[in-house]
Amino acid sequence: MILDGLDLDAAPGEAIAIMGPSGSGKTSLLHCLAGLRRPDAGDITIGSAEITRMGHRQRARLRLRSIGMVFQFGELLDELTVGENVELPLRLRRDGRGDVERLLGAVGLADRAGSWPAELSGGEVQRVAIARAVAGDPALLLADEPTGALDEDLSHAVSDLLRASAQAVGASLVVATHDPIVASAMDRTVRLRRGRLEAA
Amino acid sequence: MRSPVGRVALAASWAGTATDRRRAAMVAIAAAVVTVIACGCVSAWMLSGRIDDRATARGFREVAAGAPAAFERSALYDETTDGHQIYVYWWRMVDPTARIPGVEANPSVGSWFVSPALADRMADEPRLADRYPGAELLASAGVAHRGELLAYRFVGADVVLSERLSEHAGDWTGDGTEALDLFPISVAALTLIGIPGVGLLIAAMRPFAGALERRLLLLRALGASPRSELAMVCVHTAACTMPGVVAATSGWFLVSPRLTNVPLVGRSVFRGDLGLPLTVAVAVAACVVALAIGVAVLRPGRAGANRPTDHLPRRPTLIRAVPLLTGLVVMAGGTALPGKDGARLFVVGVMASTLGAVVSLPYLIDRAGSRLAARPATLALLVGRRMRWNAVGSTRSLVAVGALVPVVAAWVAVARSVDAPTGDRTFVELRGDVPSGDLAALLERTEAIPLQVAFEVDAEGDAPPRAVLIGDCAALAAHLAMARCGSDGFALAATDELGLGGAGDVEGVPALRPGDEVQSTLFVSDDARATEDVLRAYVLNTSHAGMQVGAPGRAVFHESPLVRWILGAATLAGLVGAFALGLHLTGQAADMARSRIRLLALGADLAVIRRLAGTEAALSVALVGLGCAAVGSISSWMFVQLDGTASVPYAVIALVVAAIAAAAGASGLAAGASVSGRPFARDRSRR
Repeated sequence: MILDGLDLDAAPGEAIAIMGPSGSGKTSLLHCLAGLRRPDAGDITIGSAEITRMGHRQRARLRLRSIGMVFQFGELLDELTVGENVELPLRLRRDGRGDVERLLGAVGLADRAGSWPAELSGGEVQRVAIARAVAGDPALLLADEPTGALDEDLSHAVSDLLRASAQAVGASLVVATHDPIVASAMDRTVRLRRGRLEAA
Repeated sequence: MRSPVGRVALAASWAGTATDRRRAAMVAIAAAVVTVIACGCVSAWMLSGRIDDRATARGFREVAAGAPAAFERSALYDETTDGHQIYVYWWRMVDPTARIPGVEANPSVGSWFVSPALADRMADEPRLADRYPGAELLASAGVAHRGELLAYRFVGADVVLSERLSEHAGDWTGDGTEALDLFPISVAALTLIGIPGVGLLIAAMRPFAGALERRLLLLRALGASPRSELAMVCVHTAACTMPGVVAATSGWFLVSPRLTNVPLVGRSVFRGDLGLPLTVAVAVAACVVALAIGVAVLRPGRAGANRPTDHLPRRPTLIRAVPLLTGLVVMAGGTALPGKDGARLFVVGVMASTLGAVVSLPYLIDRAGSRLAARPATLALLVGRRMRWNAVGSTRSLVAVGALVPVVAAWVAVARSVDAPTGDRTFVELRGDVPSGDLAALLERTEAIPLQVAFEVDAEGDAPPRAVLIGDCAALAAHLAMARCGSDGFALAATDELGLGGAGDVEGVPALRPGDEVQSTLFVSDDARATEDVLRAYVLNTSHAGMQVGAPGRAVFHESPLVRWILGAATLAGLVGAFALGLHLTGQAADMARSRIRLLALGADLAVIRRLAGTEAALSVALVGLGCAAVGSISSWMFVQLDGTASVPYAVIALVVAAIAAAAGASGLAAGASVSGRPFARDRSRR
């Protein structure tokens, strides 16, 4: 058992940092919140949607409409340009292509829409990943070690950007991190130890 | 191994994770398949050499008049029921100490010796056995190859023979040996087996490349020299391939001497003919390992990314079409040149255009991907971009499939050109003057109506032949539609209808006239086959030389013996191609696994991801297959220009296209099904 007896509420617009040592279950918790994994017991509710009672297809639709995700390495699709990566969630939602320039402008990369992910630095990749995550105006923004591969300055910049982006779309933000810089930028921090949450 | 680089290389091959070991096992299996193919090809070469050696060992030379001879000999013609020629020789031993390879010393007059292949046929066809009564078996030393149809009869002094021969001159040919033409076999082996074999190795090593590359980068970061990196690649590849190569070589070394058939070709061979000497087997194994190392060393991007932009897609350009166009031009040149040179140039053109097709495939995939990505649908964008992203790499492991198609298409045209229908037979011709006593006996045994064709010996040469009917014209007309009965009751028949050549009618006369010489006797009967058997048995066993049996109404063509080799090689290439395709799809599924994680996180439905994987796989296989089929169709069309007897094999082309469509569909379904629906797990492939 990785997670046990968790109880966590995030208000709209609230930013929460989940800290914990490696292997404490931070990523598993985020995957459960995103509906990528289903817990053996318990409930997860996003807005009025009870994700734990949903099937594969419904959970995918919920992710598409209400959840944005940022990973440690950005996880952009190499074969798409930066602009196409950002507009992909919107295209999957069939919401047109959205305002990619505005989204990229918000993360300071307005001029990189035509670049390939391989041409970007690690910090730029994370900023594009954030732009992609908020492109669909999600209700919940999840970030898994978003600064894990970045230096201190970039960590500050990315965590501020995450916070600002979430606020801009009114999304709750849950960040799994072991980086105190990121945690300090959030509204509150909880600690995950041996699968259980403790207040920081 | 003491070297740290060597230890890392070995650890990277067989001592890694379960996935690494599984990938290493696939490389070993692919190497084993390539080794068996290579051993088989070398065995076929050695078989050809052994056939030549035995043919040379029974070589004789004709001696001048008056010079001492070891033997006297005459060649006769005979054929099997299905029209394959049997090489028949009558021998007389002049020098009792002389030996004919495969025949016991001092063979008795009247005895027959037949080759094992003919003996097999005689066991199946009793009427064929009647022609060679009491035949003994020729030893393998006297038979060039296991499929040779050869018969020797030893005759007495009462038979007139045409040739006087010395013993073992070594350069006499024409004794029925079907020597293998190594040029087309080499070309076919290179294109049909060599390219797919290399493609198979590439496909098997591709999933392994990522892990190896990461270790190379690590070594480089630790300060290893380029030589150490190269050593790492060599040791790693050798370690992966050696188990398969050693097992396959040992297996072939042990099994091949026991084979009595060339696998997939169906050609019979003498036990031991396909055996490989130990040194040759070791050399073949070393060559396969060297080939695998070459593939690994020359793999683009092997050195790892020096700059982030090294991972950017390499855009294939139109220049990739140049080798294909060159091949087509060479093929066209082959059709313009007359004779064997033209045919050879054509074959070279086929090979060049096959290689050219393979080289130009990435350009085709890139263009198609570009068109697709421009469509508004998201699925089209994703599929199109994935196709363009790695157009070169993704088609590299499909080489085995693509290379197969044009060569098969071209060679199928060859097979078609020799597949002519068998004509109707209404009578059998016995050429030569049959002694009257023998004729009566033959008529009694065959129950045929004889029609003797005679010429006036002192005619100037332009007089039409006469047909002498022995018997009733109405009875003849009942059997022979072309016979027409005149008012005086004698037969008339057109010379060309009787297969006698020239124009005009055969004059029907009641009896031979003084000065007439019988050219041949036509035996007309209900059962021409049985009549032919009786006549052939008579001709082979009589003491009158110079008679021959013919069936003018029949025109039988046989496919070249090469066709069986080519079709066997095509079958092998098909199997290798299917294996390579499986490996390609496995590699593609591994690539898709990373995209699956990203797309799922973005909210894509599993069904969408499966459709994406399926569409990409199906389109890649269809484009590669159809691109090569188009080149194959052009090859076939050009071959038709080369050989007027052939026609464009539309049915075969349609079959190939249908097979490609089926393969594309199956690939799409397999790729879609391979997208896992298992729970999301952390991606560890970056480690």
